Amino acid sequence: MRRDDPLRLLSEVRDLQIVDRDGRNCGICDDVELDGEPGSPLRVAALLVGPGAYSRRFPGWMMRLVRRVAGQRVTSVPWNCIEKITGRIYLSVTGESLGLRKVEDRLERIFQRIPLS
Amino acid sequence: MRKTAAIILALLGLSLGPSRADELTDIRAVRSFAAEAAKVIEYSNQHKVTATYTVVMKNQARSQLRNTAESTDSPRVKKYAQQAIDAVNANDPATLKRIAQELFTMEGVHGRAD
Amino acid sequence: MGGLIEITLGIMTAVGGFVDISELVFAAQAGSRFGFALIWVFAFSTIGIACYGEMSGRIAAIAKQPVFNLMRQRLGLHWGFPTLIVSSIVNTITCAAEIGGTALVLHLLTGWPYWLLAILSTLVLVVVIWVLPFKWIERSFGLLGLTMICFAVATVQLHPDWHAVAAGFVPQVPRGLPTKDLVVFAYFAVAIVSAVMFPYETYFYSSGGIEENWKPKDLKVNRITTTVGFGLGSLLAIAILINAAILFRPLHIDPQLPGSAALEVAIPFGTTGLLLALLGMLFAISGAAVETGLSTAYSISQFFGWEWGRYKRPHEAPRFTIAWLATFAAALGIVLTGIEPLSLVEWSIVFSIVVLPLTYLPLMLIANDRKYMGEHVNGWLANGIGWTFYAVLVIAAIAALPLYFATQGGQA
Repeated sequence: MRRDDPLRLLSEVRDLQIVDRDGRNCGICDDVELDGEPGSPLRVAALLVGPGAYSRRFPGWMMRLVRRVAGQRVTSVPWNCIEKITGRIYLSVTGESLGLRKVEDRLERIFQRIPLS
Repeated sequence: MRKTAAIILALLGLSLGPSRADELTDIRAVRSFAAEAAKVIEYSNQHKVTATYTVVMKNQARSQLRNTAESTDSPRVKKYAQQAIDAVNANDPATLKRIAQELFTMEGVHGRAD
Repeated sequence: MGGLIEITLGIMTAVGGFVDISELVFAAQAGSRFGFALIWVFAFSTIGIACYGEMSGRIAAIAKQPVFNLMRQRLGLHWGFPTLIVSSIVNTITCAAEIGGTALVLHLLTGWPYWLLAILSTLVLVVVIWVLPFKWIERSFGLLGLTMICFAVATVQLHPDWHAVAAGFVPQVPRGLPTKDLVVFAYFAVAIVSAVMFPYETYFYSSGGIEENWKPKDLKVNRITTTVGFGLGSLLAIAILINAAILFRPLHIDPQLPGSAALEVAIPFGTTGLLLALLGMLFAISGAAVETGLSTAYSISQFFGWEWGRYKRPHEAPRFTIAWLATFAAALGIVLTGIEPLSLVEWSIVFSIVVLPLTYLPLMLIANDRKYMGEHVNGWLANGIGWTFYAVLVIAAIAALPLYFATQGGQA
């Protein structure tokens, strides 16, 4: 699917793996932010990544539990940062530039102090 | 069709009363541990297994027999389990085999169809 | 030549890695309880795992998608998330059973305290996974697990009635059994299906395929590894069953202690046989501990889109590393509570089969989707076997818990 093709189904984009320009995993597309008034075309504004995005899709009690455990962080991936969508969503930029790899990068720095890691 | 219905009934109701089913399970357990311990001691005497293996297997058999003796409500199972423990301590495979055989006979019609 | 070596190593790894503590325990008990009558269930289940294994490897090579990415895409969050939770719990319990089994075997070899051996073996496994490259991990445990071949050699030495063994491959239910024993037979059949078709095997296998960057040219190796490798591996499990039928059944032994299986090789071959059997069991069971521990980490990482993989250094995939470390820690914690490995085996068998239909449905759907698979979609054979087994798994999943309680875990 190319980014200038009309999107037929939300489900084709949601729950796909996001991969950045350097080939690194940057999470899953947990939800989609749409743009458009009634009467005008509906467009995808951004992809949403993080527990704040996917927890909304659960029933109330599960949403509260997930948010308590994982937090409410949401990172927005603007639609124009997407290079192409096949079985995965490929970005034209790095994950860091969008704030997508904060947790991973922080943990990576901690792990680098451990021997043989 | 009849067999399927019988299986479903058995699943739903259990064909044996609960206390008889528990005693049967305990009889099977003691029978098996006694038979296993007998074989291990026999093979140990024939130097077919290592000393460490024998000690560990005997310990495990004793421990399982003790657990069964403590958890069962059946006086005869308690008696046989204690006899089996004594036989394991005495390295007596003949007594253990006798216990296993007697328990197998007690399982009767509810035991394995061989 | 390189391809032939690759295929041979793949087969050998699959053979050596086939048997884990669940198959060991259930094969021995099945043989002692029902003679050769359950051989066909092992053979039947192996066809199933070979089919799904091949499919998951093909999906890894063509769609480049690991199982839990597919799970989320195809089942959605509402079905995928509970599946992730349940399969992570089941994997952890299975990992605990394997660590307990490893400690038990070491206890039989050394006599050292069981709890100490559980801690030491977990530490060794953690260090091995931390330091060794993925290929080395997979290959070393798989090849060392080939020591289990001593069980097959023992079978030949025991001179079974080969006609009766062959008859055991024909689907059957023993005649003349009381209804209660039929129910136990059904429980054993479900348990064997579950033990052979454990979902962690496909998670691990397909994740490995992605890690090794399989391509269409690797499809042949994938097909041969899963069919020949799993097929030969199941013969080892069947050998354990046959030996138990010959040696334990006449003596009224229902092997309750995992160490009893080693007697199958000690009886014909003495102390050397015993030691080979225990070593084979050690490598096979500890290899399974590695697979289950890593499978949990693969599942969670893939579901949330984290960096994952043993081809990466631990610092390059930190959350994946934390996930498998946490799995081993939790599994060790379960073992140290004193719950017996056999009880853990029972629970992992019963709960894992409940998860199986949810695990294999996305596989079947993606393997039939030309958008992902192009010309490599399922043919009539893969679909025929795949959907047949799917129906079997659904029935087994529904029957598992009632059968477990009705038979008191097969002990009634």
